[in-house]
Amino acid sequence: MMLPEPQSAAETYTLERLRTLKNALIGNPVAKLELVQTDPLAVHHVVNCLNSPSTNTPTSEWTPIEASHVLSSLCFGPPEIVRALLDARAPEALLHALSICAPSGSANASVALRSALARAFRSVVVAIANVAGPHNESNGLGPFPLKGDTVVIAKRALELVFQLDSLDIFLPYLTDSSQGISISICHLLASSLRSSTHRRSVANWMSPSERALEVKGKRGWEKPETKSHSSGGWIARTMMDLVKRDDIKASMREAALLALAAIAKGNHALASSLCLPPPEADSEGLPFIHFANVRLMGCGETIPLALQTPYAMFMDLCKARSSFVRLAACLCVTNVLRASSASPPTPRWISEAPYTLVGVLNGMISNEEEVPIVRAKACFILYQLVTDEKELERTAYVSGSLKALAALIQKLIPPAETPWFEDEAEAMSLLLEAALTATASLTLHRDDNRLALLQDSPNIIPLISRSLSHTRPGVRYAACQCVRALSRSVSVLRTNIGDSKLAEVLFEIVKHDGDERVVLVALMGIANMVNDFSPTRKILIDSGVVRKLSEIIKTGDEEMKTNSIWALRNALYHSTRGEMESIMNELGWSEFSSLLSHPKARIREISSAAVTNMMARSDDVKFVLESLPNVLSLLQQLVQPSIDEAATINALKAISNFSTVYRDQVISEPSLLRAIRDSILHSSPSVRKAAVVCVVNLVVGQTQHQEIRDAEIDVALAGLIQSRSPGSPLGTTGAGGSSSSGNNLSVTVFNTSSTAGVFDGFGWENDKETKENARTALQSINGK
Amino acid sequence: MDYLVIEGYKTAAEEFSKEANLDPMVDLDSIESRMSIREAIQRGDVEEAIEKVNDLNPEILDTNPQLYFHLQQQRLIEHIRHGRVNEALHFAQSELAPRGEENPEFLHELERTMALLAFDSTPDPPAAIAALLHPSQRMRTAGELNSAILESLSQGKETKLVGLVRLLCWGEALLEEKADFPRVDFLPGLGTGKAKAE
Repeated sequence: MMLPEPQSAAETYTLERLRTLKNALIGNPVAKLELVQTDPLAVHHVVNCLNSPSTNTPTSEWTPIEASHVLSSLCFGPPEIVRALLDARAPEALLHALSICAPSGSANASVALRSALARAFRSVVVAIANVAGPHNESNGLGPFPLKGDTVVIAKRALELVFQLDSLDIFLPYLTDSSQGISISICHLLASSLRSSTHRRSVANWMSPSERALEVKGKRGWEKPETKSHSSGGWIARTMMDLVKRDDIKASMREAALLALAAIAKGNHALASSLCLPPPEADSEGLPFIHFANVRLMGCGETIPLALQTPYAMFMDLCKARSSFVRLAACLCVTNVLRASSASPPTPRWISEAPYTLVGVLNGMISNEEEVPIVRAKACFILYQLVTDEKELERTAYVSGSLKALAALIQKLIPPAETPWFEDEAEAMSLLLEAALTATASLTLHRDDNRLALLQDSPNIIPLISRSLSHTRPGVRYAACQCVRALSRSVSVLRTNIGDSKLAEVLFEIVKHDGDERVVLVALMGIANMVNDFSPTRKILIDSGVVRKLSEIIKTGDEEMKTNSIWALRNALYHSTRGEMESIMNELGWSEFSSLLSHPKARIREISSAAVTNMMARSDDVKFVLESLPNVLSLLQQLVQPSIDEAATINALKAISNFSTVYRDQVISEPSLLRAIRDSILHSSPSVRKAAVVCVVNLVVGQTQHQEIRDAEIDVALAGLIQSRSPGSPLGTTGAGGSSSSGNNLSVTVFNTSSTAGVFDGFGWENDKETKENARTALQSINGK
Repeated sequence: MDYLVIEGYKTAAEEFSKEANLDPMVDLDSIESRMSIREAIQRGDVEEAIEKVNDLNPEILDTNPQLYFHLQQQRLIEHIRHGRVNEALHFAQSELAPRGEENPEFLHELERTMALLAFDSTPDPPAAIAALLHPSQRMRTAGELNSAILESLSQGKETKLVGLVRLLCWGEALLEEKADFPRVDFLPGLGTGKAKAE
């Protein structure tokens, strides 16, 4: 169907034109993009039709209904269309229309109109959230994110949607008489709540009448702030009520569970309230409902959802007949478990939940009768459950997840001699991406899981290597994550990866992949593979990886730069002089110098670690000084209170190495010595440790210490050694401390991490090694 | 009731609902919409079917690229069937080729459909190509669209009766390996309208 001809700004869209436009756009992403590109005012015209002058007659409602359909359809197009929606202020117009059509509004709107508006509002907000980010983990990597001011405007629009006035308009639609409308709002919450701030705003929302009651009970001048109830707030209660009902469609139950999962994510208070034990727990702490289930199961009866605790109900729904309801319930339990972090002793029904959950997910992953999208979502939920949780990674392994995933990956990847299917359905590609993503998350933190995977599935490395050449960026990204995870194991690097061509394939990705997100993760794998103990180090260096990394450092964005420097840092560790020269010739000393003083903390940290690695041997110290004459002053800049801890520690280590060869240069810099002294008094034990070691290297075996004393380093060491009782006054050297000059030291104690610093009343230095080193240094200074 | 609703026998469903005092659990007017959409495809008017399904639920085709492609493919087939070669070529170029670029899994079907033009004047085209012009192709497309509409209304895609029969046949096949028993014979019922158990 052809797009209608563009109109002038003066004309308004008729109903017929809207219908023609709708039928031309639905299902046709090209037409949608063409519309916004060729007729910039089109979306404005459509938005203007939302709030037609008279919307209170059945026939006049059709214009805003059709306009809503057009807006909904546009949201299924490419992300570039979102800018047109934002410029036309579509969210604001839809909110206005919804406010008029609300039960408390002025119009007696039909179900058809309310339904169309709710659906359009959901589509627009989700499209905006996809642009504003972060991306939804349940949907895979997704298309390449937009950059530039569209993202800024999208974020601003999202703030508007989740502010109190807007919530007052659309949240009450959750209890609309039409389930379709409730479903739209539930999906809006499920898909567009991406930040903890927005989640809290929604979770804590109270209706205006409830807020008025709250205020009435107070003295009157407090702000009517929203407050969460112990049962989780209006939203949680409403969602729970919806889920418990017997007379709702499976799609309604699914939508309510997904919305609940979204607001429970990262919400400790809500998650804890959903995990509350039932009132009649037996002596073992088992919930009464579970026991009742056991008793009644023999009779073929089950406890109605309405009588179950929230937690029991979720677990029950994890085994629902509908696959999508099962998935939604699993996601809900996942987010609740991760957010609740019950303090020990953990109730048995909480500690056993992951096993049940993983069992359900494994069942869906392994079920070949299940549609691919369901299996993919099960993989993504498994990933969200175990990510960065070592114990859960092991739980999943013990429950058979890795075996199920490896078997699935095996089935999805064609034999080595067969090219990738050009006409592979997108759903199958997404499934492969999901399986690889879950595999990576299960092996990221546990060496036992990595080794178990390779033992149970010896051909997994070739499969992952094949996946690195997939046409879909999401699959390549997930495969790179697998490589990154597996390459964290020394034994795997030395054997399985060392024997494969994985390093070369990964390097090809770094050189040629068009998707930056894939390159970013590939760099992480490369960083592991250039370590000195890895057989892939030589292969990569000979292949020219250093030149490529240097290029990225000079021209890439911050994330790419960071990962590349990290790889170079690893390459410099235990490198030969020849390797070091080769690496620095590619990068350039001036470029390296600028990295040491980069505004970003992480870059400074990694660069300073690289300097430490380069000066590990005495000969190399001379080489570094000759190549970078101002290295000492660059390091001194990193030993400042305003600098992050990690960079300071690395700089102190580097200075320590430097001083083994060029002690005189160090002690001839009073400001540097004072910076070292201040580091001895740092609130971080790690910084103090590094500073004391630095002083040890400066003083042990030496006789001349006047400069050290002038900087009052001996005073600081003395203070470090002695214990303090709680309540001792601040700003002194401490009980019994004395400096050679006889003056009390007025020290500046800076605290870069928390308010509990060295004067927290719990003592000075607890680390025995640091204290011992401090004594050794002090004795040398005092000539003992 | 489930069979009558899903298969689209609205009047029968209404009468059955009254006589058996059963709540149909669905809006019976939606049956009429679905049936008119199915009939439009069965008579070859795919454009009207698309307009009607967009009126019924505008999200169905936006969220189901494969279904949309098959509907557009059917439109192309209708152009070819009526000898409108130029329109067919233009339609394939403007509407179908972009779908193939967005979703490479559709390319094979697109090629098969375009091959119709190559075999247009051939008396005996290959079976795989000729099947596209057979009425069953329209039925298949109509069935796919009907299933999508039913799914969007949270109804089953397939009648429970068909599922039960399938389960019965599977169970009988398993049992046959272990024992002799009287099977349910549907054949007389299919021919005369009466089902008779042996």
